[in-house]
Amino acid sequence: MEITAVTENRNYIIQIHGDVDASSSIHVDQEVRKAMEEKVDHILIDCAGLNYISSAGLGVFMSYIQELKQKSIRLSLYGMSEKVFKVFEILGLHNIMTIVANKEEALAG
Amino acid sequence: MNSKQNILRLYLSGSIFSWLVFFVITFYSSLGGGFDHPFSSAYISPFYRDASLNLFILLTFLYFKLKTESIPGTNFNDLIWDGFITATLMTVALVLNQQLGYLNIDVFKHVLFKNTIYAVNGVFIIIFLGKIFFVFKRLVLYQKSKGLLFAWNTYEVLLLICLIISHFEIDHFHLNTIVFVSSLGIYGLILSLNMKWIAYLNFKQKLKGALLLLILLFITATFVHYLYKNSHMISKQENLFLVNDISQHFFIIIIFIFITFYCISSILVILFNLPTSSVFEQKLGEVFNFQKLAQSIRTTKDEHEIYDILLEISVSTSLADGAWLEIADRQRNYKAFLHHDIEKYDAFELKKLFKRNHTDIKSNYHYFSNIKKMRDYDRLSDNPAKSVLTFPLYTSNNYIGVLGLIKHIPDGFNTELIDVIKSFVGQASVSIENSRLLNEAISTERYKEELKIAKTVQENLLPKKLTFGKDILISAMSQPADDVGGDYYDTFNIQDDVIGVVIGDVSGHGTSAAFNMAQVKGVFQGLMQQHSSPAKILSMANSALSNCLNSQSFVTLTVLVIDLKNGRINMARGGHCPTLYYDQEKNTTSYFDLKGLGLGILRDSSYAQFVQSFTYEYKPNDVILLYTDGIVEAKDLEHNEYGYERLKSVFEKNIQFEPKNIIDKIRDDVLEFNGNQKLDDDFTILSIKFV
Repeated sequence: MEITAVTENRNYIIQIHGDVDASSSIHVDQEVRKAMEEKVDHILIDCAGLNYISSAGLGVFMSYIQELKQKSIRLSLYGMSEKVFKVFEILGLHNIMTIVANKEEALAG
Repeated sequence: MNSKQNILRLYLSGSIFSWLVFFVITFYSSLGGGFDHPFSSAYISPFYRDASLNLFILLTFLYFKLKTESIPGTNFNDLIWDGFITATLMTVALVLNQQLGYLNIDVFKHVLFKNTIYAVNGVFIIIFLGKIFFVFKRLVLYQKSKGLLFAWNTYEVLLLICLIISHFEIDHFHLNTIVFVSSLGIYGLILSLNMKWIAYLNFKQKLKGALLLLILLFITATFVHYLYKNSHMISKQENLFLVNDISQHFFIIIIFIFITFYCISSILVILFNLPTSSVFEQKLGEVFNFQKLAQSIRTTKDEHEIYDILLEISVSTSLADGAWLEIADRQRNYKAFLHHDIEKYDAFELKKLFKRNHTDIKSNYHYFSNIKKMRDYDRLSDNPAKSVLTFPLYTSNNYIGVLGLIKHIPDGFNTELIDVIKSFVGQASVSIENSRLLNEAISTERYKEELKIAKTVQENLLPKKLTFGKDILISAMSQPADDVGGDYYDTFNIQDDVIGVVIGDVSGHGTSAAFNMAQVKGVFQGLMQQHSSPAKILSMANSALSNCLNSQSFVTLTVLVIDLKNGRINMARGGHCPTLYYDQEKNTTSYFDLKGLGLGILRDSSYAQFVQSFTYEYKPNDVILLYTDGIVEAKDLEHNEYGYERLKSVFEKNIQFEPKNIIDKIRDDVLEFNGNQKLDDDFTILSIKFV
């Protein structure tokens, strides 16, 4: 897995490439934690390169839901493949997280 | 051993016998006035006399040869002491015997008696020579080479020849005789240059050895003097003459030459070596230290003992004024700090100083011969160290720690010692590593044992027997990816004709998932007692589990409440894989598309709005398949996922079988797809057939 992060205005964009499994989910967690500390308004996760996400990876996103709500930070995921979206959908995360088609939609929404 | 004793006894009795013969002949010859005149009545041919004397010499020497070989050990001073005792006894015997000759008794003045005394003294001298000669042989042959052994054996053979030759009437002043005797003397002189044993004595032993050898030399001189004094009497006093003058005996002369040479050269070498003996003592000390360290490798299980030994040995070998040893564990975390005659603070200050000078004492050994010259030395507060030696401890790229040695003077360390300390450090590193590996092996073994127990515990958490109603068949299987897993299934008898079925998957796998799975089981044991809707059960389970799951863990579950009386299934999906359903009447297979959310994701009452109950009226021969994501996410060698479509088609193909067979077919197909690799995730299948 490869992970890159850029800050645009007060948006924090995290790009994920490859598989997020139990070991690589730690890096995703560190990146999200960093974004929260930088006091940004919006965290965007670019999932275009995301090939597979395990339950540990889902656990990372899930664990921030309540904290993000408290701090009024938005979290959006975009560019997800159908296969990866299905994983979010089965677990029911699509109901409580913002999952959109592309970056523009994420910024607009 | 016994045969050796017998040979010794044979030599001894032979030599006593031959001496008695010699003595009798001498005595008898003296009776006849001493002249070996052929016409004298007491005439006995000198052949017998010489033969008995030479036989006596030969057997005595053979006796001591064998006797001295069997003295155990290589304590040279004991060996010389042994020879010294014999020499002293012989001297005392000779002197006492000689005193008899000075008694003012007529009988003793007779030539007969003089000769008798002389013959007895000959015994003492020959015993002395035999004993000392073979004691010296042991010294000469210490750490012998093949060549030296051959040279010595040749010497012994030549001596034997010499003994045989002396039996015949030979002109002592013939050129050949002189050449032979003097060349044997030189040969002995060359052999006497082998004095390797002296190097192995410490200072005290050298002094003692030199003293003993000096006394031996003196005794030898006394014997030589005695022999020559008596030899002179032959010509000076006509009424006194010796029947057999052994001072003219070649063999005896050569042995005397050898013993004298060896005594003198040994004494000189010892005296010259006295000033350097401390070097040898130090080397010997190093060897002992090595042995001690090597010993600790085999016997020590406790790492800390090795630290102590390394510190102690390094200090004593390098004569350091102080030392410290710091040890790190596998993660390079600080583990132990030992210090000896240096304050902890001073050691830390030195480490800081080296760091400021950009010297990495953890990567290589360093000798700071004068730390006063280093940058930022002024910042140190009264540090006693003036020169410092540091050694890193490593085993195959694993850093273990650093050893530091200090001296209170600049240039305090002998650089030759660096290699010695390096090998101590190497040895100690190996033994520390060994002790760590051993401890790790023990804890891994213990961990494995505990996992085995956990596995049995978990297997007991899954039901052995599934509930059977009269019109329902249920079968299930579960296989964890590791020893233990996070998959869960269970069946409950809620009421008569009401059965509860639960399947679940705790996120992650392995031991942490297994603990959570046990909690899920506990929660459902309580919740499934009352007849509620599956959605309500999930909501209650969510709030119960929210308190005990860690922030990144969640659980997916599907709950079925089957009313056998009314032929109705009530179900809810808590984010779990969609349920596969075969409708026999329509002959269709489909996944139930149900709203739902995993448990532990929203940890408040808002959870309830994301789950719904769903009711379905089943008919006989309908089949339900519940499973965990380990099935659909199983990967083949090219990383393709097994997927929902393949699961559906395998299910359809085997729909006519009983649940048990359906499960087996699916499991076999998944394993075949997966290429029988190690599983990535736990997988569980549960199937229900209505009849």
